[in-house]
Amino acid sequence: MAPVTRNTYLNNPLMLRATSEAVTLDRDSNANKPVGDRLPGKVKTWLARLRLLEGVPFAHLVPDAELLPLESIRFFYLDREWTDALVQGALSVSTVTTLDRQHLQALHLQIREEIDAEERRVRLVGGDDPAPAAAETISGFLLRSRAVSGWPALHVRAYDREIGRDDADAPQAYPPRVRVLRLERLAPAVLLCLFDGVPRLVHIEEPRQGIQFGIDFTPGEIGVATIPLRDVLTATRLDDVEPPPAGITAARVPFRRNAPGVIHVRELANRIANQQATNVDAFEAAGVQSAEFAMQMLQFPYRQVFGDPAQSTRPGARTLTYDDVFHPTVSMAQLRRWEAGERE
Amino acid sequence: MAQRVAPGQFVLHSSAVPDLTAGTYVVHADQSFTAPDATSSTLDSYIEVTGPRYKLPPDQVLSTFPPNKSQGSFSSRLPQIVLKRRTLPWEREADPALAVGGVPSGVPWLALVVLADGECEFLNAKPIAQCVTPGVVLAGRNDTPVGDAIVVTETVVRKVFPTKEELRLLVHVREVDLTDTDLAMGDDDGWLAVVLSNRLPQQNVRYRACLISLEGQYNVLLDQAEVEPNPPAAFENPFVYDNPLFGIGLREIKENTRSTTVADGWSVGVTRGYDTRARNDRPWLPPPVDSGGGTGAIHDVDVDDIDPGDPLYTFPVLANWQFTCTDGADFQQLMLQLDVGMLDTVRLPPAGRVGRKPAPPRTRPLPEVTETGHISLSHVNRAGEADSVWYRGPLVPHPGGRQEPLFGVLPLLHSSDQARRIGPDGRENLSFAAAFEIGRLLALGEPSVVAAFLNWRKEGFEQARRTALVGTDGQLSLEEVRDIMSGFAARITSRILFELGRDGGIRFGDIRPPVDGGCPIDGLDNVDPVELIAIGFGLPIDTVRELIAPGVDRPGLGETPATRGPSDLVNLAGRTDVEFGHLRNTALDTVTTLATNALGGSAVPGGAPDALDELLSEGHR
Repeated sequence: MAPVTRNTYLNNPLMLRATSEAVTLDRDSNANKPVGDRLPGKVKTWLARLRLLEGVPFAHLVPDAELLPLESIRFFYLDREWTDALVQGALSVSTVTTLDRQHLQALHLQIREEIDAEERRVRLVGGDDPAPAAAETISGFLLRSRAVSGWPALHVRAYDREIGRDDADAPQAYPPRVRVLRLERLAPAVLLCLFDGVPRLVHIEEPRQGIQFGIDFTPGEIGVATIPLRDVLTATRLDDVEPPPAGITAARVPFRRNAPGVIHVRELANRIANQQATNVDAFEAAGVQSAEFAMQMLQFPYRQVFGDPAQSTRPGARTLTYDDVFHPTVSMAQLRRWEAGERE
Repeated sequence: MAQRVAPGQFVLHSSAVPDLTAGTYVVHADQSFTAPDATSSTLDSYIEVTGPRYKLPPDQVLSTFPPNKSQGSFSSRLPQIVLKRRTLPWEREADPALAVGGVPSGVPWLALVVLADGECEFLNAKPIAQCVTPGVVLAGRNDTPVGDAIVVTETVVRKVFPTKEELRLLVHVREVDLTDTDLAMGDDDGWLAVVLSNRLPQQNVRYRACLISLEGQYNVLLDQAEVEPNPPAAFENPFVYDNPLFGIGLREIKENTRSTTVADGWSVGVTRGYDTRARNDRPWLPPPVDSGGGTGAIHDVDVDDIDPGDPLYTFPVLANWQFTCTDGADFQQLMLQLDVGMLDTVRLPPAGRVGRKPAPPRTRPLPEVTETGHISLSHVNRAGEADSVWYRGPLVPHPGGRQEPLFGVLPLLHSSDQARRIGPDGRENLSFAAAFEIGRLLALGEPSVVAAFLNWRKEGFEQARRTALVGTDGQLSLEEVRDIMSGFAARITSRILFELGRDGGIRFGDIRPPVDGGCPIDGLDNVDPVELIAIGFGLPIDTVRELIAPGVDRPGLGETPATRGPSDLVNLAGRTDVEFGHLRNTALDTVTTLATNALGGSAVPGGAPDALDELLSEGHR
């Protein structure tokens, strides 16, 4: 009997078979584990964050500044193939030998399922506990505006259907609400937001800093400002009253002569009182009292609604279209052929 | 008080005027009798109603808007201060003459004034005698020996301070629900007083907002103001002062320093381009205070110099804070002017209009963007040649699909070159290759994550490989691959352990309970408790039985369930040795006897026929 060396052992076809069998065995044992129990928590979280583009240089997201000019909002879909390639790059770091690669290849599907479930758990709000489910299309927007730098902590909400009035409030656990996967300022004036799905309606709202009083400047015209008038008995804006009252629904704001930006409060009060529909005479004493004045000057956080303009509930308000920009003009199949280098 | 306000709602009230304002009062009691000869005496009790005068208790300020030391676009918002005590703005009389017959007038004694740089001189922690305009005497008790104050010119009062008729309109009371943290902000009773300013901040100006006391100086305020016929004029100059002398001084300062804004010019204050008047005529005026670059203070320049000859007024400041108003546009305007589009939208330069200056030519061409979101970028290829390639980031204008598994295998890229593509126009498309590469670089920056992932992969693989090897072992030995048998014992052990441990170790049987039951104790367990009691108390057993349950037949004995596990196996083995000794001896004896008998040929004959004999005989038949 010939002496058997270590090499004989290692080169034995049975040994090689055991090794390649191990790759399959490990894949199967991982596939049998429930999603969420496969990868170590640290790895899972990091990969999910990477999937949501955390740490990816801004130039990789927006390769040319022209794509995101000053004072603009750009909606997008997240390219899953791109983020998958990103994750594959990260996974490739630990592979050295062919066996490593074969092993990783076998596990790839399980790892991807794991990250699909984890990416919903990166940003959990208010007891939300998403069950593992198939990965949805991710969409989102980039907002580059002074509104981002000047108003930290903007509120962003998205819904997958129309939810009624534009100024209506919806609770956190409202089913049509689309989960926000990431909401982060990438630069002082650039906000990135990712949604778990494709919303039909997006609200961007001024942060609530208590109750504020103020006026509305007319854009582009210096010194021209108005306040929307309200019926002090019902606190309803006159432009919401049915039927519309006669006369003005917004009062021009007068200023004190030769003074820097000082409102002529008395004259403004007179102008409010001149519109009978405000009912200031019917409440408390005749004329505008300080509570009535305060109600007229109230400024609520402004909410910008992006959605189907036909559904707008504020007459005359300029609504920015969201649907229009979401019409695909090139099919994905076409795109895929394009990616694969095929000519049309 | 009934609950009136729901969370998320608030109620506005015009005022909360107390029945007595601050001051000293006499309660005069006088009785009169109708009975003849009755006498009565009067009683005078003195009471004093106190309230803040020069200084607000710090806990009285619930919030301010804009927040202290904040920067932001506040140009369409009126500054405000929210006070905890709802009666505070009415606790004093701005002018005693207003209160007719001792009834509080309801005119607030507090006003919120917002002053830009150079419009006031802020006095910090001065004796209260210096906190009011000289000549004004405030009777009654003072709440503090030192206070803050501002010195302003009459021009500032005329232009910025509220007028007498506006004063009431700027103060109101708000009632909120205490549980609404957004609105109540930690108040104790849900009633708040709000003081508004009448001045809109303007962009790129620092302001100091001061809650001032008008007590005794109500008549300094204008009765009424004129309306600006041309509203834009109110926003031409954010400052009160623009007189020539002032302007010259400012220009000189600006030329001599690096400052770029008017406000900066004030703070720097290195040169004075104009004559300082002798201050002898106003010996009471304190020297200018340097408040360390703060707003509203003019370094080396006092208010008196700005507008010589203008009367000066000093007002006590109960609370003050500073803020800077930055950009002009408000949130709504910014949102409405947003340029909306998908990510492949490139804004074309605005078309030139007749009569307008054409836009300057672009310094570089517009990027080449396809409808798929790909953009052409310049690139240096590996041969060192300048080239242009297609690139598309992860944010795309159209929804896309995703690589799905083919025959159960999800394709995996191993190097970025695998992801390079050629576009239809012959240019390379590096989108996914770049994604792969940036992912790789990001992972390299996280060694601990890579290590954890590698470890996870290694552990899983090693375990799987061990399992596979054990399954192959038998075949290996058939092939006479013998020397690896040196590891056989180790492998077989691991195989056995693996099999044993399968399915949660079900082969091991029940898991031993954490606590064993006790051993029965003689005299306590297996004893009739009645008997035990009888013995213990020295009573006849029948008596005890009758006492406990008359006329009932006793059931069985009480039992303590006792299970004993094999607690000490070595010991047990030893005991087995001893206890079964006799059995072994018996067996040995029997075998010896049988053997002796058999050898002696006396096994069958002579002995009584046994079962074996019967069986044999049956077999023979």
